[in-house]
Amino acid sequence: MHDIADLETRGLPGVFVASTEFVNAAAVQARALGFDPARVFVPHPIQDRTDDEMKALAESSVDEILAAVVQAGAGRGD
Amino acid sequence: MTTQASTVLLDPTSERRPATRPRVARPSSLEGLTVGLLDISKPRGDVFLTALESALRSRVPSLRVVRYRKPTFAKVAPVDLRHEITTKCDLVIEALAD
Repeated sequence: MHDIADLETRGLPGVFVASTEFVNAAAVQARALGFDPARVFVPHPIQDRTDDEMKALAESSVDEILAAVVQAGAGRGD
Repeated sequence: MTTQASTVLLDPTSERRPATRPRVARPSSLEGLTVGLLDISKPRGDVFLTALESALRSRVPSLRVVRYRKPTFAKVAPVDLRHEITTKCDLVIEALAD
């Protein structure tokens, strides 16, 4: 989250992806930083998931991730 | 008759509300842009990002993807890495905290 906050100060749109365990912590950090970064949450846990499960997580979250880095209402360009 | 002394503490670093800043403007399209995928180095994050890269490429075929990896998730990315991402990419996706 701090990386995204820093990169945005450098002019780079960004989004971070975290498991649902980070929902509350991310909100607290956003208030402390004075910056509300774009974020997408995927179901916890992560580390014991199979490769196929990880692929499914990525596929299920990609549209939300794309929406976080493109102007609202704009197309992806595809 | 007794009086209680009171002390007033002035904290110059205190703020009632932290200054806030908005997100950077987003591009209207991802066509032809370069996205940096920043791996925070937690287990399985690389698998997620590889799958995400594939999904991104299928949705935006003209999107260029560059992979990066932090030395550790416990610290902010090194300044030279952040500089490289900033100079070579148009946007960044960081993953995967758990």
